[in-house]
Amino acid sequence: MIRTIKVTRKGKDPRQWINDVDFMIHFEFQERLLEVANQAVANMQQLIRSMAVRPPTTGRLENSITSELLSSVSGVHIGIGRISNLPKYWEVINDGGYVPPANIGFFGDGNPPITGGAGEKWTHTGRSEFGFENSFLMFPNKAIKPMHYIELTNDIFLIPQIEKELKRLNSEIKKESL
Amino acid sequence: MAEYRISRNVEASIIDFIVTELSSDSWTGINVLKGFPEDYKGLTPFIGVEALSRGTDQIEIGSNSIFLDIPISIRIFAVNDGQRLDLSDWLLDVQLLDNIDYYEYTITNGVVSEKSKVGKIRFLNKVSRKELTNTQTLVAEDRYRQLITATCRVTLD
Repeated sequence: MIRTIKVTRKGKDPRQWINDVDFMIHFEFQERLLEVANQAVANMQQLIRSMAVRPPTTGRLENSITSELLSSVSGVHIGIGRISNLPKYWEVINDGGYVPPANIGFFGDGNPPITGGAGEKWTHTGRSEFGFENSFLMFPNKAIKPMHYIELTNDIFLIPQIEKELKRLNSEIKKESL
Repeated sequence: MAEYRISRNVEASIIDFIVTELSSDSWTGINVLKGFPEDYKGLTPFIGVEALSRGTDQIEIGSNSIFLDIPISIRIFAVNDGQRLDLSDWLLDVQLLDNIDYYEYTITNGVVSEKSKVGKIRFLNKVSRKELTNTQTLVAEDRYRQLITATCRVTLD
């Protein structure tokens, strides 16, 4: 997501004006955006917990979502949720769909799929070798419903917060009469 | 007799619109469904329309009026990559550019008995992306999916 701010200013040389703005508020603004990113992570984690089909969650997905400053050269680049750190199912939970085969694991304390046994939590082991003797191959009939935790965090929290910070930045620039 | 509330009216109005336009543009064999089906094996190709949530932003401080904004998702489940691209371009470039009619639906005995046009729906902040691009092994129905999200702003006549 890229936001561009257009600025016109009479009197002062534009390059000098941009340098002044940069000197005065660049770091403070960066800090505020980092704070917004941290809040977005907390928001996303809360959303996943609250929308879990069988709460409480294991916490694997939400706890692996973090924010990090990728670059602060010519702009601020902040990443939320590094894909390599997320469990493989992060995308199916967000977008919905059939769990990719093969699904090896167990229900509850080590049960195979049982007719009428709905409500037990699925534990994915991914293998059926020694130590996982209670693991079973499962073919889900129903698709996972999309949780949209990325889109909802973006639409409901992130974009309004960034707009708010940009408005604040604009009024600070005006106040300083640069 | 009952009436749909705004989110369902928006969903149903969009579904009606897409069904009509698919037919008039000679698309065949594409179903339009509400929401995200529990089991869609063998159902592709189809388009799923779903209202996600409801904003509650006030129009101005001190006002009890709120914006009639509904974030929606339009999800394409295509049978191949060409169809995914064609359908998403057709929706984005042709169909969702203009305002579409907003209807209020009346339900009698579980079926729509009456619909009346009471306003327009405008599509804001459209974003389109291919879904499930990072998951390696997918069933056939999940391989060619496109998600279009937009905020629908309802303006009453």
